[in-house]
Amino acid sequence: MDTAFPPPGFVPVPSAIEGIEVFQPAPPDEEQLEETVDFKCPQCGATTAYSVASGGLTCAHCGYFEAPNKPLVGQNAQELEFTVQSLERSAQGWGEVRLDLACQNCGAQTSIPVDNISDTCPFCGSNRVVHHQAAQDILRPWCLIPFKIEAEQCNRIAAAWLTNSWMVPASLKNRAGIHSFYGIYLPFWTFDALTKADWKAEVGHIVTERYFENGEWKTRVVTEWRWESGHAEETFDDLIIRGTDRIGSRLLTEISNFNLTELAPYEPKYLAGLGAKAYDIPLEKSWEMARGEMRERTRQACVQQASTSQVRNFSMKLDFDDEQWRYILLPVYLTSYIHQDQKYQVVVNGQNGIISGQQPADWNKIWLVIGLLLTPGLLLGLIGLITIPVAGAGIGIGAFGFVLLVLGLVLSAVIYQKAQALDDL
Amino acid sequence: MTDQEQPESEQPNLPLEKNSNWASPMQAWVCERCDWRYLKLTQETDKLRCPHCFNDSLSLYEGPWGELVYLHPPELVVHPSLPQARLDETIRQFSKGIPFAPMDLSAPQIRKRLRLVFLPVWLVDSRVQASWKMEAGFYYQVVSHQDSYDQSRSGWVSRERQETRTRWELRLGRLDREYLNVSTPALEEHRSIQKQVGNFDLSQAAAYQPEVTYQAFIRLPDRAPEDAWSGAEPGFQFRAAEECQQASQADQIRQFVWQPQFTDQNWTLLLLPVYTSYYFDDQLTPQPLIINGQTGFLTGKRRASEQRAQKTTMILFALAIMAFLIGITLAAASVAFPPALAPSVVFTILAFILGLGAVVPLARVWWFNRSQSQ
Repeated sequence: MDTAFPPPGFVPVPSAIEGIEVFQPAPPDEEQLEETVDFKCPQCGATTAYSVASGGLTCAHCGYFEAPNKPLVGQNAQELEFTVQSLERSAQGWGEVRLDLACQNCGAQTSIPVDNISDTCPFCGSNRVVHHQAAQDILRPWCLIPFKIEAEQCNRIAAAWLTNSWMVPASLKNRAGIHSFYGIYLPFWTFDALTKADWKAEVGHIVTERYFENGEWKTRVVTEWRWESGHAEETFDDLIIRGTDRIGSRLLTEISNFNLTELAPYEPKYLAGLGAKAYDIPLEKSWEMARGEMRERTRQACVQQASTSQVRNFSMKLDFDDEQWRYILLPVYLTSYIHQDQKYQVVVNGQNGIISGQQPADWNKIWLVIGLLLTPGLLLGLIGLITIPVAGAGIGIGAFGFVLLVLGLVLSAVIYQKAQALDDL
Repeated sequence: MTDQEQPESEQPNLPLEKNSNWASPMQAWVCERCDWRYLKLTQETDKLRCPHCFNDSLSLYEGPWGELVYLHPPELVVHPSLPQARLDETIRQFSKGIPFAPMDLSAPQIRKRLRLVFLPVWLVDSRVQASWKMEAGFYYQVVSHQDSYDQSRSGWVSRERQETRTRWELRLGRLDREYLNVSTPALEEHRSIQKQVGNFDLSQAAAYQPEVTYQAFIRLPDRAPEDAWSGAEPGFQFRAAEECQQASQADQIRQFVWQPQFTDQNWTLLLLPVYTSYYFDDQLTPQPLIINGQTGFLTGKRRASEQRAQKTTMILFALAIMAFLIGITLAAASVAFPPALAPSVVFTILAFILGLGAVVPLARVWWFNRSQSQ
């Protein structure tokens, strides 16, 4: 009998039968996270924070640096199945509204929203990461993408973004830019699935048919409807769905093309000095959103299989297989600015610098441009109408004016729509 | 389990009558033809026909007692629980539907010759110390979806469903357990006999009581424990795997491997009941049959009698010749007496039919025996 038992890396588990010892491999992620992690420099005791430039925990006071412990895992990061347990746990939410914290540095009592994962003491400026009771279970963030863009870069990106459209007010273009970008990790869910669909539809085929009428053969074009069916499969890998509704969905969708190959295992030090939010859209609801997107894309794939683009009475049955999910934190810079007493939100992808936000539209300028676009057509039309009795050329001028008016109307409609989107609050 | 010891060679010629363990005096018998060895009550004075091959009478065993593998009473016995009515019905079903059955093949004859024989199976107890490794499977529920879309109705309809999946995890450990009554064949022919009579429900085994075996033959084992051990080890492994699954609270296991050490082994016997009987075929060779004493499953050759078929064929053939001769005679007579022509034709046709029909009994028997041997 082997004397060195159990082999290294195994831990005992309770046995239901006397006389039988049972061991299992030691769980790799058994490390217990402290409920509150404070970031103090081990050299000088000052507050440390995550530095985007150096990619680790740094002390601004003495220059102490501490790199992340774990290497990047990318899209190999662990994915989880939709167990009944995880869905039930996610549906419970966070329970409390606020969490009372005592600062380890200055002793001040503060209260933070329960879905805040990180916090900075407003009295002494020390950073801390809070792991709620639920943080140890499957619904803690398992990985994140560290910030790659610094706040200063965001200022430049925002300044360029503000001036990229003639529709924004001149006063806004002339301002020094948007400042006070706040780096925050926002919650996202990623979903994988294989969809398998069987579809059936009537597909229209244009055919020319001959028919006899009034003593002669004629031809006509008709649509002939034939039943078609098929099978389509679509693979979805890491479909990103937002886990918070605190930020407008359009803004988050526009910046959500994160590169998930840079996913790193979660470590509290990534959050030091930065904001971090836990999810407020539960797993099941996000999965519902993801499923909606997946089935729509699968439906389109099915429709494309039809032999023509004319389809009616379309029906399909869709099975989801190999469904998996991940709960991750993604880096985003947030800020807002006020223009004419109205607040506008701006978000920047903290990994690649893509910006999205709300911009006010200068409607005076827009109406002026629309007016200028419509004026030539109207004027030429009027001239044409007046000159018709005088000379035959009036018909040509009128027709040209009509064409210009139509063009002006089309362009005006496009400009109006863009301005509306810009001004969408 | 009683702590019995193997008969030692230093106890030769130990008369069984003096072995009080059986609670009744027994004698050892041997069939010189098939070499099956039995124990039977000593007061049996009639000539005993071997209940296995039924060819010869049994002889009293006169060899050294040490050659007999095991002479102690069994620990457990599966009682012959087959009701008499079902046994009779089984035999009746066996003997019916045989074309030109041998004269001796009848249900009453088979019933009259029924013998109860107990077949031995080893039961092994052992303490086992082992290290083991396996993959333990744990069930869990996942939620999946099946959606359907109908353009002409209500659009998307989503249906949730739950699936049970198995998570496999490595488990290893040590065990120190005692396992009782692991069975292993005690006869070389155990597998072929089991194939013939089917399985026994061993959970019905009860402690040995002498009266159960008064009228029965008790087959003596011909596999020594050291030979039978290879059959017992998988049984121990099966028990250990089952217990390791329970200990790990796993729903399933796979790839169980272990390194066992067996100590404190104790070997005893379990007896399984079978009924045997026979009938004589054409050559007066006994054709044995064997019946599971618990389930009534019967195996034996059903032979049709070629002799009886030949006899019938000969009679039909003789009749055909007679009819033919009459037909010929009447045909000759019809030259002088024309009305004799009609019966002459009838007799000739009859002769032809009988001649053809005479082949049927032989062909039928040949076909039946061939289908039975297949």
